[in-house]
Amino acid sequence: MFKVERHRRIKEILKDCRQIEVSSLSNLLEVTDATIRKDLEELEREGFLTRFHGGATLNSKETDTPVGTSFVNQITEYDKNKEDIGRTAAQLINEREWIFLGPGTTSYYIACALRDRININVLTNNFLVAQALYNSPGIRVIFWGGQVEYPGFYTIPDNLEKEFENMYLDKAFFSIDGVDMNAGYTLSDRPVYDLISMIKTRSRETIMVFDYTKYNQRAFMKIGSLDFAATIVTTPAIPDDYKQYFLKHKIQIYTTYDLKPINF
Amino acid sequence: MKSFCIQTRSLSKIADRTLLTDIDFTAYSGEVHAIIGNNGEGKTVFAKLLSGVRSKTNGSIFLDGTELHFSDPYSAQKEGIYILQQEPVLFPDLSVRDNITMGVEKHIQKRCFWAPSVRKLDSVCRSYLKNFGLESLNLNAPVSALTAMEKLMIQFCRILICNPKVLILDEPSAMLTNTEIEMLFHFLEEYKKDRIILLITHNYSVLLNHCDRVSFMSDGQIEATFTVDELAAPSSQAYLERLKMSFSYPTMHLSPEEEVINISSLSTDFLSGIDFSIHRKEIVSIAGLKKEQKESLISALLHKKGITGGSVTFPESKQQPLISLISDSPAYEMLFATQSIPFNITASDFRRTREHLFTSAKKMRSYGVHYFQKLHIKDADIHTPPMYLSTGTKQKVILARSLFKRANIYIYDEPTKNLDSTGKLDFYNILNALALEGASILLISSDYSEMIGMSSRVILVKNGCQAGNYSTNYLSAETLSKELE
Repeated sequence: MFKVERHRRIKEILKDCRQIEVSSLSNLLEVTDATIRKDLEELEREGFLTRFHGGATLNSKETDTPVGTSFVNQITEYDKNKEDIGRTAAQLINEREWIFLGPGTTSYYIACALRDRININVLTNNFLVAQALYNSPGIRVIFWGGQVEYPGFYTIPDNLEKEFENMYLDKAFFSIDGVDMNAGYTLSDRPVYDLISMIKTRSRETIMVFDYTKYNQRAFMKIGSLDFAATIVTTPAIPDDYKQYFLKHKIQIYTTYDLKPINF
Repeated sequence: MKSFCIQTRSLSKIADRTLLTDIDFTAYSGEVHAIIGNNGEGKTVFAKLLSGVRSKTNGSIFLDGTELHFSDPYSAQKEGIYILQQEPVLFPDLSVRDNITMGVEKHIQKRCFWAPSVRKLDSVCRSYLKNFGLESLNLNAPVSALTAMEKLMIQFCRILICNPKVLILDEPSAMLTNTEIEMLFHFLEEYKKDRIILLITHNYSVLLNHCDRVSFMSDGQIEATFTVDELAAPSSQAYLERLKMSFSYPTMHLSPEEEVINISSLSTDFLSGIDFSIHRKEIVSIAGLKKEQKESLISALLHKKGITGGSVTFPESKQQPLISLISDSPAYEMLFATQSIPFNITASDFRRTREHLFTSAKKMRSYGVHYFQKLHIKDADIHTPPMYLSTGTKQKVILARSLFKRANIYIYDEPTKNLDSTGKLDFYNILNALALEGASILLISSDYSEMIGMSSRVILVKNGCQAGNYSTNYLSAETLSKELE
């Protein structure tokens, strides 16, 4: 395994478990203890972690949430594609805007990418988003109360119409479960359907975020055809027919490219 | 001369996929008939079928009532059908005179055993070049040194000498500035008498002023044909609207960070008063540069050569920073055709593939595969010889080479000129990602909407002087093109 790749893996692992022994790292990555020690030393210089005898612990700055209260780690697996999408999507958000981040882990990654930004207003019903942003001083978060939907970690307000009275947003981000040429955008969580249709009418822009695994998939409820949202953020491997469709319908397509330099 | 028409009946072309289906089309003499549609709808294929460059699969073509059968451009030319193609068809090392008259001598001097004299050729060349304000062109100079517009006009003159009955112009406006387009149409206004002129374009703004009839093409079919007067009617508006909405650019305005390039009142032999700066994470475009002005700006940036006044500084770095340049030469010229793709990608920085004293093929390959995957090159694999790659993929390999350089500053000169809309989309998103990584990008372009869509500022150069430095927030392509006129 190359060094860059190793560093990335170590960071991932450490973000997941926060504290780890040299021996388990060397087992996981199949390299010698000496190599891991050297890597940890370099990562310590980067300020990513603190070493202790026989292992290392994540620095608090890198910690997503205070250790112990986190449920993010329990329900989300690290997903590089979604993180890339989050990074790109976050760039579409400008200062002073009001945005909505919908249910789903992709929204969580958008929120993570927003942490160091300032002067942004976020409306959300997603616990993960709230958790990612609650201690970011530059971001105002409004969390919507309501009935908690357990598997997705979000709430559904009792009375959508009333909640949304006199409320207008700049951008709304939604992730969906399926993108299909015939079926359009589809969702499996029924309650989210009403939410999306409601918010779309109140938002200047609706932005769909999804990765390549969603193409040619169908879920339960159709929220709209593929031109439902004027902007999409996705991974670059868009199947050709979808790409043609999007271009033809003048949909603004943002794709993620990870151009971090690499050394072999 | 009596009027005539060119007609097609259920003309189809099927190559790797269906390109054209059942086209019934008629154009009459004395008219400029435009065929308009977005990229990749089959306009060029249609033009190539009519002119014999590609062969049809089904259907028939009639000129003045008689059916035509041709298998190559020459047999079409015998019927008087000529095409001005998009890509240059020239002998790069031959002189302007030879390029204009090569192969068309028999039209210059009929029934003569001897080749026409140079004097005669010169006078013929000048008389045609005069139509486009190029009479002062040096006829002995090789064409490789000329601008795109001059090259195009040389090909055009070669066709005009043959006195075509049917003249097909494939996207002439792609190469020309607005004034040059005006000049071309002014010429056609007179010339279209007793001829059929077919104009292939995706640029609708030329239509209303200069064409007599317009056919809309979509997905390999002619959808509708209108006269220009009918275009004003509401029924045809829908077609126009669809064209007007061009490409949606993935605009991304990052907040620029520290200043990376500072150009203050720079003058060179070809430029004066150039004054702008580029920041980290910023894409800036520059418009209105002619070939030699472009070159002098690039050499001032790269080598600080030819600077007669003002300065170019890089406030961020102590020495000259790494700059990666992609020039506007066609992709095939920039690739090592006989070398592998990994070689082509790593060619910008061989030191990184070094293992001891030699370059390591293994490292080269790893980098090659890495960039291949990063840029999601689909229609080829790492072993494909570069010459078999499609235009879009070639451009991506060149882009990969430029990325491999890991420069701080990227200068891209007309990078999307030969790309179709999917290729463009990929390119623009890579550009965004590059800026996101902290690069500074200077985009030299002549596509106004591209500049507005992708960059945060547009620098406008007119006759070698800087005419403006605009933020793209409140700028439209129309304003820009007006400013440049």
